[in-house]
Amino acid sequence: MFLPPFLPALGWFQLLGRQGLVGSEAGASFLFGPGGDVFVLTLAFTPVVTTLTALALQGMDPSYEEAARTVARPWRVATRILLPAAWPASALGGIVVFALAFSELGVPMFLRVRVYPVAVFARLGGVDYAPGEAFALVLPLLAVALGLLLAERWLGKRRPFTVRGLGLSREPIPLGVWRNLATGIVWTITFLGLLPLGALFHRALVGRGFLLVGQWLGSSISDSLVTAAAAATFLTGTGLVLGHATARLRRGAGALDGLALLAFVTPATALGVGLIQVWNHAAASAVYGSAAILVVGYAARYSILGLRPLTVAVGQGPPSLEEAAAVAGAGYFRRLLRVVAPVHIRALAATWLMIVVFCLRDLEMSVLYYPAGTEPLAVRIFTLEANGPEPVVAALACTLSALTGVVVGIGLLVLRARQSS
Amino acid sequence: MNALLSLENVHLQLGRREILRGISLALAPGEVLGILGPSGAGKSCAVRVALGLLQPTTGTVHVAGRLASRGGDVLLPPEERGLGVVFQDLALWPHLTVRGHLEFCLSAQARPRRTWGDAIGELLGQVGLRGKEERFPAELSGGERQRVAIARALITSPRAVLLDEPLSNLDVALKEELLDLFGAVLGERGAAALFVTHDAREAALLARRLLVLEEGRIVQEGTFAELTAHPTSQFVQRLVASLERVAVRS
Repeated sequence: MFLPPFLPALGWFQLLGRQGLVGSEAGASFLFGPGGDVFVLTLAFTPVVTTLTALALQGMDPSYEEAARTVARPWRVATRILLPAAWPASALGGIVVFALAFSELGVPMFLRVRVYPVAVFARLGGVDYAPGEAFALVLPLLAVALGLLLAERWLGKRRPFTVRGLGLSREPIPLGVWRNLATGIVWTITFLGLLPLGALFHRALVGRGFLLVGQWLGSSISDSLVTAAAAATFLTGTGLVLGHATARLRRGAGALDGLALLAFVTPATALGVGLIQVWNHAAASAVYGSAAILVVGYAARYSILGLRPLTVAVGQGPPSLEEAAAVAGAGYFRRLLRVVAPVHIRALAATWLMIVVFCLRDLEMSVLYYPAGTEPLAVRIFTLEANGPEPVVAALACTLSALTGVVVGIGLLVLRARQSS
Repeated sequence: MNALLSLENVHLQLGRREILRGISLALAPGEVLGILGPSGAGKSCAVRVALGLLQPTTGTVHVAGRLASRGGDVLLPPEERGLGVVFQDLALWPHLTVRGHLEFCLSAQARPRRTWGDAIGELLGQVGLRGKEERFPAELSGGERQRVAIARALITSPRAVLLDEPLSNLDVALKEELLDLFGAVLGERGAAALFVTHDAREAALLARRLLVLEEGRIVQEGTFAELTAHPTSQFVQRLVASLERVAVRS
């Protein structure tokens, strides 16, 4: 989930391609076609749905489940109580996956599947260069985005089900004879998720790609980290202000939330084309010609990632904390910085971390307008994938995976330290 | 042994915390037994062990003479124990109507569908919810939600009902009304009950025999009068002191 899906696609190529570790004609035919595209994206995005569903169930009052277990068998508890509790979150996961898959550029381009965003991308460079056509082509994508926005709004009106009650420990439902099957399925999915990364590592190791990777990295690691950190800092700050406003039902906050969501579900190609139209002028060359345009693009696409978690976090805190500060004479910004932010410091840190990770994995937007010489690592791998040495591309993919792992690992350590302090 | 529900020398450890330290109790048919104790004494965990939602670390739980749990094992799953429960937060399912709650329980226990209408109608009449069958929990008042929770606990005619602080956060008048209702409905149905509370007055009004639980141990047992006449536990001593202060001031 934290890696650009075209990285696993490269890994599957190392496995199933004609010269792959377990390559065959049939395997390659499957991989380089719609079936392979769906297979790779399904494995890449499965954690989006499972994570959202798990979070919804973890937030559910355990006594809902316990009350059902006193009269009903586990299967009935799962289908009649847990599923209705989790389905708004699962359905939201479905919307997010649809939006991400619909935006996906790297996987279909690599697997030579002709999807709509690829047609738009082709008209922004190379022999098919026709920016006017690209602008016309993105218009239907906006209708899709509006449809997704409406679907999310409809889901948001569902009866609330996920308010945590007493914090008693939750005993897992015994699966009985299904335990082995369920365990097998979970481990198979996990294994299939890690397998292509293993294949990339093997390719890089055998081809001595790791020895050469330094020559090909350039400044892409620092470019990736600096732009991601800048965007995450900006979006976490604005997310705190807007999330607070949304949680406290301030006028206009709902509309801003809708706009942020619209930007996220709008296919990245459409958003990218819009950004080019707005910023590609002589007057804005200081932004468009530098890494700042990457930060602008991340901020446009991922603002919802700053807004939503902080809306939830602030909404769960009692307004009386701020009211007490207001009575003591604290103004809006003092309350925000001295009361709201410290109380929700873990949520702020987690939000910042999540945005950094999403920026590190971004390809679909940044590949459209990255300034020459400051391409992020994901874009560097994508551009080298067609003509670069295979072991080096594999080593670069491993580098991006490791970089993401290090960022996530440090973030989790910091979050854990703050929890125990 | 003729107890409907019995716990023998039950210990419960969650993580590093020792929640229950060797409690034993027995609930006789038709009896209302009160468990009284301060917050954090382990009352709710004792209920969950009895229901089979938590496994005791050591000790045994018998339901109707059958070994239901023993150290580290739940032998009889919760749905087969024939127990009903009302949780402190009621745990009404937001997506089901009043009728939906009761039908869920009846269908889960495989009761013939033709009997549902009469069973639901009779019980809703007893708890005063007739006419509210199609309401969702969010559309009910606090007192009505309590009635739905007690109806859900009783619809399958359980051997015993476990009431886990069901009246906390209610005003005094509503508490009195619901205590009368609990007493009447349990009496009509002949159901035994284990009533868990930190409120000695509530406990005395509903249960004749009381157990006092402190820091995971049963420290005193008897009627309300016996407990207050010879207070041996800190909790009951504080209770007696409080009653004396009220008497002096009034």
